[in-house]
Amino acid sequence: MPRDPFKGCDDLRRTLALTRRQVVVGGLSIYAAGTLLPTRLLEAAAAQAPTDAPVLVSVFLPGGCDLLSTLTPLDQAGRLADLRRSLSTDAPPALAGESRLGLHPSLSEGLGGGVRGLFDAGKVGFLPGIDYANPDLSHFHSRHFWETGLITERSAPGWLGRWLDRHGSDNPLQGLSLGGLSPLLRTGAAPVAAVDDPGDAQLSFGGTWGVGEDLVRAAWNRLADETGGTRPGPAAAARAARVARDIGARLAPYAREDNKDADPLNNPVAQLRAPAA
Amino acid sequence: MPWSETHVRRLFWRAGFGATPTEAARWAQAGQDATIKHLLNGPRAMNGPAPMRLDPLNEWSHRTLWWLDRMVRTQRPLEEKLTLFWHDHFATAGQDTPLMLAQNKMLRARALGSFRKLLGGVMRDPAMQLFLSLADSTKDAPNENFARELMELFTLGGGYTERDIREAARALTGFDSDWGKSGLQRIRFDPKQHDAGVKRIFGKRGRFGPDAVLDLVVAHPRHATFLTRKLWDFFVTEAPDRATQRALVRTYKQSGHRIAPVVERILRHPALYADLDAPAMVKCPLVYVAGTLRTAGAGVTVDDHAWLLELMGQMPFDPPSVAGWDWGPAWLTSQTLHAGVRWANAMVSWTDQPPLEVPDGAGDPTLTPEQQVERALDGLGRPWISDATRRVLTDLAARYFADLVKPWQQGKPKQERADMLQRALRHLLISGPDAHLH
Repeated sequence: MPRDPFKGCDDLRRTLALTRRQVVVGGLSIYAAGTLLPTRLLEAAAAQAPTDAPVLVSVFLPGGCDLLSTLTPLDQAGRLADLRRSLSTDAPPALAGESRLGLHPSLSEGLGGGVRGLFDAGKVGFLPGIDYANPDLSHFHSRHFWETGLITERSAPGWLGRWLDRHGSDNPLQGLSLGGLSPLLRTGAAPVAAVDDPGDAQLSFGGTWGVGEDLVRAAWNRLADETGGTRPGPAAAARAARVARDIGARLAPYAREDNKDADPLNNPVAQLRAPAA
Repeated sequence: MPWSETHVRRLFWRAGFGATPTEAARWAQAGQDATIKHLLNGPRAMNGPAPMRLDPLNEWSHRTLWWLDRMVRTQRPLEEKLTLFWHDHFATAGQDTPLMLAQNKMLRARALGSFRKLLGGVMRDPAMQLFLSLADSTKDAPNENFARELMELFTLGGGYTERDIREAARALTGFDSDWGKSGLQRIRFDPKQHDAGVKRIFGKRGRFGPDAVLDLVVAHPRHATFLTRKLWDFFVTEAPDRATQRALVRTYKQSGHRIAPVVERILRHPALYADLDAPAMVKCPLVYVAGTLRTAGAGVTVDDHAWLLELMGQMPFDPPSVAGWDWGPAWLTSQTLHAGVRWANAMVSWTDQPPLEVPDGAGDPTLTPEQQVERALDGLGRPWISDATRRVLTDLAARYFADLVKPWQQGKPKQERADMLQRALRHLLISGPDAHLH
């Protein structure tokens, strides 16, 4: 029997008596790599979620920034300046209500005081000091541990994927990854989606049309259902085919007709400014 | 060992990019020994349909198409496959195309020879030098990037300490980059920037320099197991048993760390030919695309391969990190399958002359469903399909004309539908789940 898509969130809230504020992971999680989130994808994702289900957006910036100069431990700022002489020697200003941590000045720039402004407004939080015992300084180990939430060198589903395995549904859009599947979202069994363009997520079969295309689509769906088996390779191929089919069906309302829709990425700056005007 | 066309097809897929029907027949006749010798020592030549005009240095995405064309037409598919293996193993990204193409050439030239010589080429390779900050790492400020990945990803995987990395980084100092108007001119070794002091690496003391570090990692007890296991996993899905693993290590060491003898041993191993009627190894996108074209006798005639390979998750010359790509079932996300469907569209229908074109009027409505499927298989160089896929495709062919019952639908409409059926069958054969396995 199919589960209620977002029952997991309710289960978690009820059993652990967590408030919504404390539940960081919601019914939907979106991962984007190297791409601006198309507004239509957000629309599509939001439409899949009940109105009160939280959405977690995870943006991973590979090699993004250096923790110690981003969020500086002020009680060790002098030692940091000694060790990294090429960096600015001025200790950054402390975060409001948090005297031990300073935020890099460039993160106070921009609209509304930048990241610091968002922090002051209670819209940004930091998780400093994430670490593991006896670090070997390997980039790949650190990243793998962060992606899986496990201190293991073995291949494992991501922490977000494991959450979906326990609390998710059969809706692949519960975990939506943009631009390749995020390792965070790798699951054991729960379906998750890797989509590059929600307007083009449906399966089409070139060179066929009308009844001819309908029959081909039905055959492709059967291939997804009737191939596979228990060995990892064939099972993965059939599973990916089924998920691709299901995503196409769920995103069908967002299918783009050529030359009719405005490019969602067109002039994003104007879109950002619009609400303020 | 029994030897048939099915064996040849398995071997050519795993060791290259699939076999055409002619190749399958020819090498089945020749026997396993001659076939493997051919793969190892065949003529360096390109053969097959000419590609579109390619300008890898100046046109965006043409470097991808240029390499794809080599995979489709080379008469040394094993060498090309190993070049891909080393590109993943010594993954380098974000560098200028001339440097990447020079690295590609170096990897190909050393793909099956001495690993130590290959490693020396990698260490001095300009793209790698820049990527892992070996260039301009000096005695006053040694950079540990290359030393760390050298041990972790390139040669050992474990069995060393942080101190070994730091000391090796000292020994690797002294490479300078010279820049001109058009970019990097050359990498040269400047003894004045090299730390000539005594280092202690893996418990040994000496005034080690860059080449001595490479000698040390190749002689490290973990190295032979690490590298032979990675090579094995590239060709075979099942883990090697202990006797096989020991034999691979012995072969590697006794040959003086040569790659070809290890690969030859793997290609002769019965495990490579397991489950001939039900392949379980996942093709990487480049092998999926190149192999489909090669076995079907088609060339790189459209540029859509490049952006579709990117959607499938594998842009050559641009791996996601120095650790390379994630292989095996990890390739098969819904996006890869979806991109495969779009790629199949490009192959059968986009442009005036798609690579796997079924021209109007080429279909035959009088064939039986079984004959329709056979005809589509012939058109693609007879790829493997599972019983389940054959059943689904035969059912499709059996139902495909069912709605055309009126007298006026018997002529042109039926012919159009027959053309459509051959496009559809070819599409499903290259986009369905089976097509991603070899």
